[in-house]
Amino acid sequence: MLYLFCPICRRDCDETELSCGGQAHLIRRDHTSSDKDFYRYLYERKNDKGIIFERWRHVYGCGKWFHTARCTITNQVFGSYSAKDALPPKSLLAKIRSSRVDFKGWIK
Amino acid sequence: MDKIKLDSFVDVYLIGSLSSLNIRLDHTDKKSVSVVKKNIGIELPSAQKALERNGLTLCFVSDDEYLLLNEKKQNESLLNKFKKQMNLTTGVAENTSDLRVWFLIKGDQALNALKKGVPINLEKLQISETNFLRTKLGEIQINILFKSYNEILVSVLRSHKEYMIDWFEVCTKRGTEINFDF
Amino acid sequence: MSSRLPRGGSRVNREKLVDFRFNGKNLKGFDGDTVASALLANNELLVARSFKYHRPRGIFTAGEEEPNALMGIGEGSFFEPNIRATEVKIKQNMNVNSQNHWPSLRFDFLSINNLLARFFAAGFYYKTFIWPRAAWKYIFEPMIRRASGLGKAPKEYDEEHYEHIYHNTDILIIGGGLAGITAAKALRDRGLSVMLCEKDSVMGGRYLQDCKSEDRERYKKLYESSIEILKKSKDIAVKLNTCVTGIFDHGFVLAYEENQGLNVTTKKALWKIRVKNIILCTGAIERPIVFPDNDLPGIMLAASARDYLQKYGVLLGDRLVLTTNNDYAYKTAIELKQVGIDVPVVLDARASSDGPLVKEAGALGIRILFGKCIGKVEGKRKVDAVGICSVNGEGTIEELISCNAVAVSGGWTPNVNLWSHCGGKLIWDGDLGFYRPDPDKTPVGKDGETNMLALGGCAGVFSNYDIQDQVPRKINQFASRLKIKSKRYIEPNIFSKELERNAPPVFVLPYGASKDKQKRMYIDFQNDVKVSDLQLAAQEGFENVEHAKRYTTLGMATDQGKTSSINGIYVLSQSLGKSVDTIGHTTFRPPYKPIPLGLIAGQYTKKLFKPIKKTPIDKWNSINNAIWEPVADWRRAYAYPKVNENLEDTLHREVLSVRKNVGLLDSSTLGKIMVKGPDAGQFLDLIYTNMMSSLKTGKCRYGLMCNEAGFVFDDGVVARLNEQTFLCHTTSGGADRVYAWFEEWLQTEWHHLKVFIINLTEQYSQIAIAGPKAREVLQTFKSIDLSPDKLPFMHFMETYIDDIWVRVYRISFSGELSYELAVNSNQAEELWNKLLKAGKKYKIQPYGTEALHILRAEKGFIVVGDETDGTVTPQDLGMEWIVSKKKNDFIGKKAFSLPHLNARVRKQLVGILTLDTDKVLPDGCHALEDGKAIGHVTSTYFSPTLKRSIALGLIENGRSRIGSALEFESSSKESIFAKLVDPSFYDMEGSKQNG
Repeated sequence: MLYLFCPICRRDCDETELSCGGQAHLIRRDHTSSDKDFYRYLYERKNDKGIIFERWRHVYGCGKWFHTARCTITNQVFGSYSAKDALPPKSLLAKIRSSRVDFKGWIK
Repeated sequence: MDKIKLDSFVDVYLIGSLSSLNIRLDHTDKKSVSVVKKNIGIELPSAQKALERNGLTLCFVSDDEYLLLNEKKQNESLLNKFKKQMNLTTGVAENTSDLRVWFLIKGDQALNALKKGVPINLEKLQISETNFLRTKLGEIQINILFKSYNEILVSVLRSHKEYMIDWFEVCTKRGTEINFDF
Repeated sequence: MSSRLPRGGSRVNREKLVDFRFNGKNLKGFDGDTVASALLANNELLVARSFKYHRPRGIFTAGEEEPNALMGIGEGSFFEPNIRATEVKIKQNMNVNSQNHWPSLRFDFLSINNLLARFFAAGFYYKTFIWPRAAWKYIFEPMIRRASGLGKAPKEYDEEHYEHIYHNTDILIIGGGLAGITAAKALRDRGLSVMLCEKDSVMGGRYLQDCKSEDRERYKKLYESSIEILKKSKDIAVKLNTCVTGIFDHGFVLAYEENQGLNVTTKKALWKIRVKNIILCTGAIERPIVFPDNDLPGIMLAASARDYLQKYGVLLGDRLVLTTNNDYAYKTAIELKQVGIDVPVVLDARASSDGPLVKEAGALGIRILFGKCIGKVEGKRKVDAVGICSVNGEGTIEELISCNAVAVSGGWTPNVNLWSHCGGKLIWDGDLGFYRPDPDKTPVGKDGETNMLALGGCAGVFSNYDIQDQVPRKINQFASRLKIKSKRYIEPNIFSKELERNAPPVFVLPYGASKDKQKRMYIDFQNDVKVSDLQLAAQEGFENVEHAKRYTTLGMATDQGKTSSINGIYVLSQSLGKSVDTIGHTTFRPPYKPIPLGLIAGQYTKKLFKPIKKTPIDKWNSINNAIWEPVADWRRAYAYPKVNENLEDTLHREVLSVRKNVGLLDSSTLGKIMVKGPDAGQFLDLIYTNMMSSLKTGKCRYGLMCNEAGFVFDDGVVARLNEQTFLCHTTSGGADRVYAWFEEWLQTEWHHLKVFIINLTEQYSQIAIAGPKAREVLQTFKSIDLSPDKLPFMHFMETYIDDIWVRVYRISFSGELSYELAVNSNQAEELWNKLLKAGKKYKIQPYGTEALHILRAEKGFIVVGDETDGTVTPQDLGMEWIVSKKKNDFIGKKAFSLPHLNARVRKQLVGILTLDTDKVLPDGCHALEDGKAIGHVTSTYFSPTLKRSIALGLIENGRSRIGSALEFESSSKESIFAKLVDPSFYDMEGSKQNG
């Protein structure tokens, strides 16, 4: 059971205090987008073997959303960052790159 | 404050409602922050902290949400004034006295009682700087305000009041203390 | 025959006799005996029948690795099946029953399976029971059902008290043997919190049993001084009787604490421990040699036989043969000989050995034969004799030795389950014949760093000298890697370096056993898997170890292959002509040993199972005979039947009282979310399908919420309290969901909007007073003025009823003149009683959720969750009017323009009136056309107002079908015909609610 650091409460929490929000950094499409882009926004999600960026909400605590970078093979967590960030922070990407040689970087 | 009749290894008291306000504000907005400072006289607490002054306790819920508890009737008019002023800013303060019910757990096994349902690190070393936590107990939301390790205030939604009493009855039953062999 | 010695047994209290029953027979044991030791003391060798072949089985071990002696223990609400007799202590009047036989253990009819064994080889069920098909229902299935399973399922509720306990610690040491105790001593006073879990009721592991009698004093002294040190240490917490049963991600560990026979309320607890690092000291389990007829009662692991002697003063037999490949097992022969047991021969598979233990055995006059093993065992339900054969060759019997006990040892298997649970890899040690933890491929924690260290027997280090030498060193290294206070710990080594005897690993003997013998050589006792089965698997192409496991069921029983996995892997490798390390091993999974289901539930059963939310009117509802309806987490009053009133009459009464007089409803459960800020209106415009920013202060507006795919998921009335403040109502079940929805958009997408929300659902209770007399009732309170011009329909005002503050909304779900009063929850009950009192002369009656649903259905108002199911759009509901054409952007706008919501046939909301007015359509029944289902009923009631049945439904192209009749399939036998109409049946102009 995962033990993730909530950056607002500044403590680790059991996965059972959280609610998973799936893939991070989705770009919202509105009525100005093409049908194809909209379907992709609604239904297309990544399923990488390796480092993923995901959203969590601390339901039973502060109620706030945050992002994490996690490896789906070993469950190593590289860090948590604000829900307001549209992209993973550069420092976090550098940290991942330094220990995972084959990390291809942030891909939209 | 009524003591709940239980065959338990801690004393549990039903306190009922405490006069409280939920406050939400943008801590980078100088106007709303100063309203708090001027009326309540307490700095915005940081994570896991609650700061007290003159019968008022301001608890950190998140970086834009705070819970203000009041134990003195004399503070009522002050709180009304504060509420009005707060609502004139981009923030909001609203009476939430009725929506939760408070209990007091007393005794040297108080922390151990919580360990039956709270999945947080409650080891004394870990919580030495903590006095307010918001987490879950079993499957329900709970607020925990530490007066000391032996005097712990907890609150749940008022609709969970009876469930909470049942929880105390089962989980703090004498004979179910957490013991180590040595 | 097995028996008890007149003296001895470190675990038993000979002063205290305990009576218990085994298969109805009254037996006696001592306090401290396990069921197994007590049975052996009473010469009960036959204790079970095996799973498939119903072979007679005896007690094979003295621990949790026991594959045979599974018992049904206790009775009634405390009955538990499949409990290992080696782990349960006997208690006064305990009821113990063996399993899986009929009519009795001694004379089991189903042992006939044994005679037909060649038809029941591994995987037989893939090849049989195919034809004739009819035989399945009447012959095969009932037969298989009767024969399957081991224990009987309990019939009553489990009344045992279980608990969950959360704990955090820096270091968890698993196992309190020599390695664990030494590790604990080495880790103290380093500023770390250390927890040690030991599954037994005393510490020490194999330590005290394994020392020679002349060393016993020295060993005991070290043990006692170590325990003293641990007791005095403030940072070390020890739990006995606690077996770690699973290791999961990020250092989450489950441990099963079982307090047997102690005077505590909590007998069984599940510890949920979050740890930073784990020191694994789980020791090793002895591995048997597989030989022909190796599963008869009276055959036992060598160290276990010694355990019974030392711990319980119990002898397996009085004439014992030892078969082994290592020096260590000679301790069994020696100790038994020393208490007067006859040991006619030791069969050593090796070519020779001159170790001190071998010499000692020889000096005692024990005959030792090298290069020999057992070629057959004679006896029907117990051992009568063994046949000696050469290890090479096909097992021709050279000599028959009569005996009644056999001790077996093929070496030791490190107990590596927990290492493997969370990603640790194993490495094959060909010299010693076992898998042990690979120190280069350890489990890792959240930070990607190693978080487990394996020491002692589980790492393949068996000698006390080596443990005493290595553990402090490894702990010091470990501590320095963790960058903690590294006080170098030094432990004086009281042990002497034992001379290594590299025993060539031996798994199956004789090496060239004939095919016939292979059919009698059992590897996995619990699932009756034989050597021939694994060869069959290999032959049929199930070469991968995972396939072979499932094909033969090797290692799939409750013992998870503890005494059989390695032997099975070896046979598979031999059959394929490959080395063992290329075969690999199967996956170890939690729990390490079986745990009761009740343990997983913990104390969260019965009244703690589901937190039920209760409104402030709940107590009044209880006293007034309310029937309950679960609505999300709440319990609401469904109806208030009077004494001797049937439900139909109750609903009739409640509905008509609202239509004709006045009714009172507790609607406290509705969600109430305050939305405040300069951008509040803009935000709500994005959330709802209709305009909200144009709502004027003091007014209410009904709104619909859709998700991005355009489907309705909540609805409710929005009130504007002032320029910057709105109060949004949601459905009862939707309060938390809508709050979370708002927060998600504000935090993750539109964080530039200056809006804050507060969930006030439980701050306000809400009481609806509805009916033609509603205004009159409220006007009895002088403090309130509700003349129509003061409070028109879809407006609200804040006022007082006596001294109780209320916000009165003039909104109607029933379609009658109706007011909803929001009041601070602490005063709700008081207000409810006041309203009842004031309404008494108007014959006011409380009504429940079912009457409410009938009333709104008569008006054609939708209920989210009935008329919608997550795939219904506002347009489907005929609510195009609520979808704004002016707004630039809102959630769902894009979706509404998508082809699949426009070009295709959609199910549309219609009213349904049965042709036979008394017939009520069943909820959810399908509308049929040409045998195809073209829609279903979403709400259906008998309407007391209209004196006939009414229903709402979603039917393909429903609106264009209005006026025509359809067939509804009300059951597999009956159809009901009904006419489609507009979805509203009563007061279509709305004159009642607007009055």
